Amino acid sequence: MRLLLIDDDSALNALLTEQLSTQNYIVDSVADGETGWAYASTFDYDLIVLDWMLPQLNGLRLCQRLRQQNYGVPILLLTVKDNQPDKIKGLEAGADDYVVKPFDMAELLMRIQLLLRRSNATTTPILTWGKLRLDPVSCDVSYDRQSVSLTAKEYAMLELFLRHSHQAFSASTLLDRIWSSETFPSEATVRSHIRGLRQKLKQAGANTDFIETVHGLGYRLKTVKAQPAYIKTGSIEESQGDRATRYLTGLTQAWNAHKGESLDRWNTLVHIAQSLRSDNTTNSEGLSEQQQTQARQIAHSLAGTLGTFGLMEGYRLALQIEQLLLQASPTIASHQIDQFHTLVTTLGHTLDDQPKLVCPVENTPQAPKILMVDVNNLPYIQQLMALTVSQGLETTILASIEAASQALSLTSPLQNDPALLANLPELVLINLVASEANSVLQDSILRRLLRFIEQIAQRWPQLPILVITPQADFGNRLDLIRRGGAIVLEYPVVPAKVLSIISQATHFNYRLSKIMIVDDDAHYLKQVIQLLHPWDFQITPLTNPQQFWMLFNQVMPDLVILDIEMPHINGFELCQVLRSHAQWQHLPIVFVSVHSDRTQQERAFSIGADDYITKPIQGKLLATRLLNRLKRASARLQWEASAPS
Amino acid sequence: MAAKCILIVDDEVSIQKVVSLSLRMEANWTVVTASSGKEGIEQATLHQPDVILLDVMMPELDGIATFKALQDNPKTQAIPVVLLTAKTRTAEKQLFQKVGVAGVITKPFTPLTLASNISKLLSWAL
Repeated sequence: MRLLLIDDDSALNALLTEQLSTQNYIVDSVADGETGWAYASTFDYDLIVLDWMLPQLNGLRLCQRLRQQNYGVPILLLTVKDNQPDKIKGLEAGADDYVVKPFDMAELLMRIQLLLRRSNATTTPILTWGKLRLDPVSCDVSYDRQSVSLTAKEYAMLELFLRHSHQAFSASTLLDRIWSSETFPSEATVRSHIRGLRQKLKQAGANTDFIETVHGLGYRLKTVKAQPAYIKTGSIEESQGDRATRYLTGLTQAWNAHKGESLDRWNTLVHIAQSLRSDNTTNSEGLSEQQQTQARQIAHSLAGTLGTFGLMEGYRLALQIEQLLLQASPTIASHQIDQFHTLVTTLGHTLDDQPKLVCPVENTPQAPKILMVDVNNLPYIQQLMALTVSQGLETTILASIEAASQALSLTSPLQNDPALLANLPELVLINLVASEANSVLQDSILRRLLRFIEQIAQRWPQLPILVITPQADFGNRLDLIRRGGAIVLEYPVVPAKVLSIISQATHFNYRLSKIMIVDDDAHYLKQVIQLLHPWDFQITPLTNPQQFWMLFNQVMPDLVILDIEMPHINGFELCQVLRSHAQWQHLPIVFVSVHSDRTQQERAFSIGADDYITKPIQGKLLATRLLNRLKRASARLQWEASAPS
Repeated sequence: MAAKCILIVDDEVSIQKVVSLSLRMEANWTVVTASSGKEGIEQATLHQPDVILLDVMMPELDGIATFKALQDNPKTQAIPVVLLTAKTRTAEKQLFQKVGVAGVITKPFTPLTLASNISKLLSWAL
């Protein structure tokens, strides 16, 4: 069970975290409402403990906001106020329970348990393992549809095994988890209960080792798997797929056995992040060089480990932490401390992922770059950053307009230097939200930011600008669009949604798009394929236009690139053939030609071309223009799918 | 091809396990493990492996220092060394190669082709 604790009283926070941890809850604790909102809307929790009086966004308003967004997780409100109208206000805001400070720790823990039980009863699905079925609400157990009657202890053990199906439990752990403290059983008692449980399951038709004994580790459920064919025949080579499965099983076992080491490392990072934060408030100088090196090494090793086990989100976050610490040398700035903290917390959540088989990293295309400009150091933006990083985007937050102008070369002379183009982000996100308590920016800052948006739009008209603003009524929206904003989102909006909008706006979703290139110059074709290599398109080259129609129908490409002058059939004719089919009216067609004269271009557009690029071409530019076409085409498809017929 | 013997030196037991798992599964190689640079040198002397996979970032004796110690030792200097490291910047990779290692494999590696990647680096027939 994972809990989120939102309370600005650090002593109480520490005490509660400790108490809850001893009860086997995993606790994330934050000190203000705004960070609380960022966490709650990003991660999955089973319960939120929320203080009423909070800096930034207060508990009551946070509660209301969460409920407005259909957030269903139970919320327990903590407060010093103890009068009836306040209580009602809290419950009206959507809290499920209400505990008055100062409270009795035992009572609070009990209330938490009750709330969890109540919400689990309605949401917990039925647990199954092979033919075994356990319904946690009715406590019914059956095997192969035959009812199995268990004692309370047997039931509790079985439920524990099912809930942690890959974990082995030692006899002493089972004693701790299942037996209450007033009895004093020995490990022999556990063995006898396991025997009893196995016996009953066997009577219902299960194997004796349905619960297997793992030497040195304890008991766990035996993996249910159909017997693979190669064991019987012996001589047949196991297929790649079987090998992958077998490897994955080994990987999972190794991860479960050694996950603790990664957790320890992560914990060290958490401590460093926390000490940095408290240092920051007392104005001391942050990390010693030794600590910084230590943190960097931990992040580096974690990246290696997590990557090897296929926990790619954690891998990316750990790399980003390493990168951040490298940039933060010799001293770490306060906004970097906050980013560090957010990245570390997000990393903690990825450690619950299960191992996967990883793809090779060497040949992956460069990650789309995202630039976030946030002069207010909003936790929400940091959370967005961590989330995009974990998804494989290369995200940077810049805390000043000056730094951002420099990064976007707004001040440099107007020239489309290829190196500059290559470093340009795929999307710029601009935050206009000041803080939760007072979401509207100071006027002078707002004006500078708006001016900044205009400057970006003038310099880079193709670059999508996403604006997060506290007010997005029609007037504001229109104003932002006029200045050059492409996407306007009204705060609060859940980070996952922003992420999906970012993925759509960058080329992230257009990988593996099928592109067909027709050009009679084989040498040139090879060159284009090389140029486009980093973008991971599936490219079908064709040198003979006479084979076009056959190949086209086999490939069904998402986009076609045509040369103009070719033997037998020229590019214009191919384009006209395609456009003569009702089905291919909107297929993106791009001409690439050495002819830069106007008449050729006009002709191309008049017969239905979507773009015209003159040779010689530069890889990034070509890719950007192809991606633009692909985006438009998919937007059209989405629109057609959603429009009423 | 005779089965190869590989020594993996990594302070993390979990990585040792994953490497052993994939090398055994893919190529049926014998895998010997060591958890520190010092232990790595001992194991290398003792087992005379066909290649040493060496983690770069280890406490005390790191990968590069271990590599230098292996080179200085007549009993181990002929054994090729492949460095194992989390994603590196190109500059670092070049530096590694300059030291004279047989190759660099970045983590995360693709487990099902680890053996063939090592074979490629060392021009072994698999």
